[in-house]
Formats: sequence, C-alpha cells, structure tokens
Amino acid sequence: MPPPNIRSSYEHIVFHRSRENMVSASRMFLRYVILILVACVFIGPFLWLLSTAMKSGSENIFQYPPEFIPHSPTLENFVRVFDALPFLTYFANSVFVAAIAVSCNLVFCSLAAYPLARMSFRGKNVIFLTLISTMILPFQLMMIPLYSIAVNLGLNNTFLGLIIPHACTAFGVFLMRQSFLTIPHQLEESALMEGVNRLQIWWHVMLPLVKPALATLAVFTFIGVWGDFLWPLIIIDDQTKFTLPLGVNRLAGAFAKDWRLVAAGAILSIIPTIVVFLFSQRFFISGALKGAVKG
Amino acid sequence: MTPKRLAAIAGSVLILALLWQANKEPPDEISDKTEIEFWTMQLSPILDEYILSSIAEYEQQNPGITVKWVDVAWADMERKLLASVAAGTAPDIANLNPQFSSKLAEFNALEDPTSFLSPETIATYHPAVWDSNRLDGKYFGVPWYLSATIAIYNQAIFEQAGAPYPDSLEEIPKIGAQIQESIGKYTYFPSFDGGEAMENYVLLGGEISNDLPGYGLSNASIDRLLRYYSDLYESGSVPPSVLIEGHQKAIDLFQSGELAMLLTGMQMLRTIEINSPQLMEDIVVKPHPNADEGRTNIAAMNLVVPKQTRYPRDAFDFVAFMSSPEKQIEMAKEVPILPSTLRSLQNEFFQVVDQNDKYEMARAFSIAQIRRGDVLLPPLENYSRLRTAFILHTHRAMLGELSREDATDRLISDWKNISRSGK
Repeated sequence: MPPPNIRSSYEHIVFHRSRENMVSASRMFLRYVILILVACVFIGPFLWLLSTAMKSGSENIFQYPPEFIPHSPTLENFVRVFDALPFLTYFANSVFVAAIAVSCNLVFCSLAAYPLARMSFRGKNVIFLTLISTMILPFQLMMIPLYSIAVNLGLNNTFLGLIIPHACTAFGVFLMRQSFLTIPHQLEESALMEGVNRLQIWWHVMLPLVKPALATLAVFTFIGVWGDFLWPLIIIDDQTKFTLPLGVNRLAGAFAKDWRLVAAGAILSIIPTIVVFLFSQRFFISGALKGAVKG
Repeated sequence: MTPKRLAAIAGSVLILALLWQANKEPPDEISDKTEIEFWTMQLSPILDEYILSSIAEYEQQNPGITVKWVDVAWADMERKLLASVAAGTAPDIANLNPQFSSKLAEFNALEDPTSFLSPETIATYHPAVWDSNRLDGKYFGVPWYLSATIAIYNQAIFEQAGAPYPDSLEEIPKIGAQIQESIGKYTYFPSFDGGEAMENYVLLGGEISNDLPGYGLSNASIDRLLRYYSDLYESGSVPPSVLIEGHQKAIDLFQSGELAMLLTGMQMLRTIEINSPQLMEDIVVKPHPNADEGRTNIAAMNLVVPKQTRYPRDAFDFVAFMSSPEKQIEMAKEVPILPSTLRSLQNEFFQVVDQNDKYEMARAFSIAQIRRGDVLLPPLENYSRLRTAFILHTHRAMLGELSREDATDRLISDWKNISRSGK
C-alpha cells in the first residue's frame, strides 16, 4: 500500500483525469448536439419532402399541427409519377445531357486552364481576368443574347443547344487553373527535357495530378446541368426532349395540384445528384480545398 | 487515346454539330404547309387529349395548315415568351393572362383581332370580357376561358365560433374578430401578389380607367378600401403574413383547417379534395360575398397573336376555332373552366342537377356571376408600377405607419405621377 502522501497525489491525478475526461465527453456531446441540429436544419426540407411523398391519399398533407410520420406510408405516389409522365424519357434525356456536358466541361476547361496556369504568353492575364469577370454576370442577363445565338445556329429545341452553354464555363477554367498552379514546375520541366510536347504533358502529367479538381468540377457541373430549369425552359419546346426539372414541373397542373405527386417526382429527380455526390465525395472535398488555398 | 486526338475529336464533333444545325433549312420553307405555333399555359398533360384532338380536327378542316402545340409552365410563360420575342421566334398564338397581354400590347407587340375576325364572330363573346382586352382604343386579345371568384367556407370553423357567413367583404372583419376570439383561428387571407386589392377597390364602389386623369381614383373609395383592409388586420381576421405571402399561402392555410374562408376560383375544390380529403366534408360553397351587391369580377385567359407571326389570318382562324362555343363546351367538360362565348354560357351542362354536389354548385355560382359580371380591373398602362404603389400604401395603412387619410393622399398622388410620367 503506498504511503498517504503518494496516495493523495495519485487520487488527485485520477480525479483530474476523470474530470478532464468528463469535460471532454461533455464537449464532444455538445459538439454532436450542435452538428445534429445543423444536419436537421439542412436535411429537414428533404425529409419533409420524403414524408409528403410517402403519405397516402387519405391523409391531409396540410394538417395542423403538421404530422411528420405518415399514418399509412405508401410508395404508390412514386409509381403514380411514372404513370403521370414519361419519367424515364425525361430521366434518360437528363442523363444524356449531363454526361455530355460534364465530359465537355472537363476536357475544355482543363485545356483552357493549362496554358493560363503554366505557359507564358502576351495577354495571359487579360484573358484570364476577362474570363473571370464573366462570372459576375447573372445568367438571366445573358439568356436572351444566348438564346438569340442558339436560334441563329439552329440549336433551338435540340440537345446540343442544351449542352453548349455548359460545355466550357468560366468557373471550370478558374478551378482547373488554380489546381494546375499547385503542381511543381520540376515535373513539367523534366517532361519537356524528355521531348514530350505540351498536349502530352497536359494529358499524361498534369491531368492525373489534378484528379480531385476534375472530380470537383464534374460534381459542380453535374449538379448545375441536372438542376438547370431556366435554360431548358427557354430552348426546348418539344416535351419528348424535356429534362427532369421541366418534366417534374408538369406534375403541378394548372387545374389541380397534387403535392404528393410533386414531392415524389422531386425525390426521384434528386436521387442521381445524391448518388453522384456520394461517389465523388472523397475527391470532391480535397479538390475544393486545393482550389481554395492556392492563389 | 492521345491528348491531341481527344482534343481534335471533341472540337470536331462540336463544330460539325454546330455547322449541321446552322445549315439545316427551316422546316416550313421546304414544306408547302403553313405551320402555326400555338403556346398554352400548363394545360398538359390534363388536356393533352382535348388539345391534340382539336388540332387534328382543325388540320382536317384546313389541309394546308399544321398546328404545332407547345405547352409552357404557368409561372414561366413570360420569360419564355420574352426570350422568343427578343430572338424573333415568337409563337403565332399564345395563351396569356390579361396583365401580361396588356404589357405586350403597350409595346404594340400584338395583332388587333378586330382586323381579322368578322363582326359576327366577335359578337359571340361575352361583351364585357371582349371589351376588357382593349388598350388605347385597340384590341389585343380574344377571351378563351374564364373563371369567377367564389367563396369556399370551412363550415366547422363557423359553427364552432357561432359566426354567420359574411354577406359582404366589409362584414369579414367583424366576423373575423368573433372567430379569433372564440376559437383563435384566422378567417381570411387576402392576397397581395395579384390584382385582388385593386379589384376590391372597384368592388367597394371605386372606378379605375385609363381614360380618366390619375386613372380615376377617388378619395372616398380609396378611404373605404383602406378602412376595410385596416379593419381586417386590426381585428385579427387575417394573419400578419398576408403582408409578405400570396394566394398560395391562403390555399395552404385553408387546407390545413386553420383558415375559415377562401375567395378563389372553383378549380381550387379539386386541389383541396386531393390534398386534404377530410376537409371536403366541412366545405360549403357559396357565391362571392359581394355577389348580391351588383358587380362581380371575371378573370379571363386570352389567346393573343404576336405581330411577329407570318400568318396572322391563319392564326386568328385557329383562335376563332379554339374559342368557338362548341370547343369551349368540350373543354369545360374536361376541366373546371367557364366559356367566354355567350351561347355556351347558356348550355345545359351548367345546370345544377345535384344540390349536394359541391362541384356543380360551384360551377353554377360561377356561371351566374359571369353572366352578369365584369372585368373589374381593366388593362392598365404601367400596371406593375401602379400595383406596387397601391399595395405599398395599403400595407402602410394596415400597419398604422400612415393614417388612412395620408395613405389615401399618397396613393392617389403616386398614381397621378405614374399616369403623367408614363403617357
């Protein structure tokens, strides 16, 4: 048995450690409570949408006080969406447009960004600043001239007309340029000494090193194209070429609005966005951070 | 794949696609048929069968014409139409509300139907509605379908509070106070996101006209209107959110059972039945509270022909076909709308068969109001600015920021200034 003075200091240490543990546990608890609350705020509207989509026809969806859990949950509303609209056609159109737009954006933005980041030529900064300054213009301002150009090119009511405004964006060029700037010059110099040309360097050296930025740009572009309503509304007349946002909008009829159906359609249309984000999350976070810190 | 090849393929595909699209000849130049483009406001998918069969019928009667139908979302029609007008690709016919039609008419962007339709055809339309499509002496649209504002009451709330149904708009504050005091619920939700406040001004005895100085506003009638809105607000008949939210909120609140009455079109019954099925049992349908006092409002949806059309005569021929009494009755049987031609308003379809059928009663009340109703708010030049000033001063009077007298003076003064600056 240890002498009393040693025992007392041992108890003192144990007491302090347990107190520290308690403080740290309570801090952790508080942190989780705050995080859960914030998560609820962000995920709340989505869950409410899901709850509405799963309510049966006999339930009052505007009931007061509101009821979050459906009395008799059903998937019937999701089935009805497929009966009410050619949902799969809209889905296929969206997938096609998004796939081509994302691919074009990755290729063209990284091609444009490479010389802006790694090559010296007259007017480089002017070109870059001009490009960046277009980001402050809201789409609504450019919509009518863009539409006019599209009509003159015969792109009205075509998928190509939907894709081209997303095929190379100022934001994409900016993001890729920032990403290329983080790569050490030595890698490029050794490749040049080996006799590799600039396009080969872009493809074989630079692109593999900026995969996180490419993934980030892919996710941003996908979300932008997938959720775009205004441009497809203006350029597409033919209902067989509608993308999902236009198609789902048809669920809210002028003479009767069935909010269960609208909610089910909205849930179905956002699932691909969630899936894409989940799969690219790992790259996305690191890519977004890289672009943010290197000037 | 080498980078050069990748870049070359991507660039070539885009350039070839652009060239291919640009070199395509417009379809109507290689076809000997005239194609008319017809835009409607959110009638698809519910009216797909009706519209497509009508188009097929018209094309059969007119072998040289094909009609291309484009259905546009209600809320986005203005943006799409403005973009197409700016690009020179406006449709030949568009289905628009009177406010936006008159905005286009202000810019002389619409054809005058009286130049293309015969006097006999014009005489078939409801005269008050036909005349409401006129700005600066020129007509700009043909009325297609109509709706009237009826009252939908939650009977349970009125019974719980022991309150009667209002016999006029100005009775609502008193009844609202009783309902608020007895059961703590709101009675009414006036909307400020449309022209309702200005229509109520006319309902309460005022006059609005393009031909009068300052649009003809009178101090006494504005004062009466502001008293009505202030009483609504102060009595607790309306929720405070009326100042920031619109008609959709009124519908949502009514469907939640928290609002005693709704002044709206008969088509809202179906929405209520879908979203709040239990509430239907408690619903009582009646005419607009002011229907017995004389004037009631008619809301019209128009068909207009933009001046950019290359085929105005064919376009108006199709408009006359779609808005003929026969086609209107067919349409009214499909969806809850009312026809704009006098003959179809007398059709036996609008007779009430079952007094307990809320839909039939709503249709009967609506048709009765339309037969003797009027478009209370005529097309106004500078409509958006006038509406903003009207609502601003009404809100300030409701909140007590301005006395009724000051709000009245400022409202009239603003309208006079807009009238002077805009003409």
